[in-house]
Amino acid sequence: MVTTPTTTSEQLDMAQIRALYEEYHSRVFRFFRLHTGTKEWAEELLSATFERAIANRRRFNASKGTLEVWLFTIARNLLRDYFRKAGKHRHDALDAASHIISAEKAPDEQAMLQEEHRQLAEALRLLPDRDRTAILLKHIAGLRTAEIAKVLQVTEKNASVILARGMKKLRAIMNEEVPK
Amino acid sequence: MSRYTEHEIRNLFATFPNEFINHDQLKAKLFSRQEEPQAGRHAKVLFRVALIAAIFMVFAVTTGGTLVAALQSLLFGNSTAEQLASFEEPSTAISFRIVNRSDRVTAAPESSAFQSFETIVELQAAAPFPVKLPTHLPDNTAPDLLSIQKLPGGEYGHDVRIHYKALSDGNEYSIGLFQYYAGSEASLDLQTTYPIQKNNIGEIEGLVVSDPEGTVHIYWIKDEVLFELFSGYLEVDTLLTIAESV
Repeated sequence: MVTTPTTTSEQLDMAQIRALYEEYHSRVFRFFRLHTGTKEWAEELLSATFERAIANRRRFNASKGTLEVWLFTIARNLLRDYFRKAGKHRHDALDAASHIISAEKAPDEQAMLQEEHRQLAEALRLLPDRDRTAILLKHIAGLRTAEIAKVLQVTEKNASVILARGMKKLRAIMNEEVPK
Repeated sequence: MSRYTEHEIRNLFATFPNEFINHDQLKAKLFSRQEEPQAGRHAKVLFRVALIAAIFMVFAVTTGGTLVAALQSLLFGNSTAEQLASFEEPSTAISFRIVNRSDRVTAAPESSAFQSFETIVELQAAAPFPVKLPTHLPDNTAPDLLSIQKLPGGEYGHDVRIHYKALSDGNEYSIGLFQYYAGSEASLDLQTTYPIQKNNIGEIEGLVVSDPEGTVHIYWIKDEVLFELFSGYLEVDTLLTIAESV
């Protein structure tokens, strides 16, 4: 696990950024993948996130939050730029989630799981940006509510409400309880 | 048609595949530059600085403006104010102050620095006033996030926050119980545009606010402490029962 430096004077070195990349690249990729709907954009944004992290590594300030909070704040800022350029709420055509063939699951089970992942990705796209971000920070990035609050720049209380409400909406969409 | 519980949705997140296959390629792109010889890197940096300076000077001359204006324009384009404003998050539409008899504000909520605790016992031991807990909570409820305000001097402030995590029919939701030490004869100055309803919590008058998005907040003062209980999932009656048990 990557350890967050505990003092403000302790800047990040390249070894720490490498460790951060090894531990988080998959989570950052899936965060972008489910946000933008496409693998291509997710790859570009993943690359941009770590390029920015490398460029700004001397500006990391441990007193403002953990490494995870810092990394996903960068990711969120890049997403804002992405949506600003692409037009608010615009998404490219949704990619089907590709699955690695698993010997442990029968083909029909794999097909069902793939379909469920497609439904999840589609339902997420119908959520407001902030709800979607909060949910992905929790369930893909693995951040705690207090850390999500820092990334979203809201109070801890607001973050917990956004999360609970967002999950309620997501579930309603997936169960087709609200019009799409 | 299948119906998803929140637990099943969480499982779908956990099993969502990692489709990123260019891992080694990206790693090489990101980190190979750092392994170039030091002298080569310095030469590249100097070249880039010179190039940026040249572009900046040409830009300043061609726009006929000042160097500062040119720099600002280069950095932010023509919509600086708009871009900065878009980073502001809407704040909560409910705020309050605790006021004592001489109308002096004794507590300012929403402080930014907090220290987290692993257990309720640790939180109670550290808090500068007796922290109270509800004896009644819905089934499958457990403490989640526990924190106390940390003042710049290092001591703990009068703002204690407990978040519970609860599970109902596969839905995960949270219940917040915040406590602010208010002092003797304190009163609550609640400011909100949403309707405020008065409800008794035992023998004490409490204020209930439901925001348009469905979160219910209950405020009351007992034994010199202001309590705020809230949830985006539970009904008012359930929250009032919890409040009465604190």
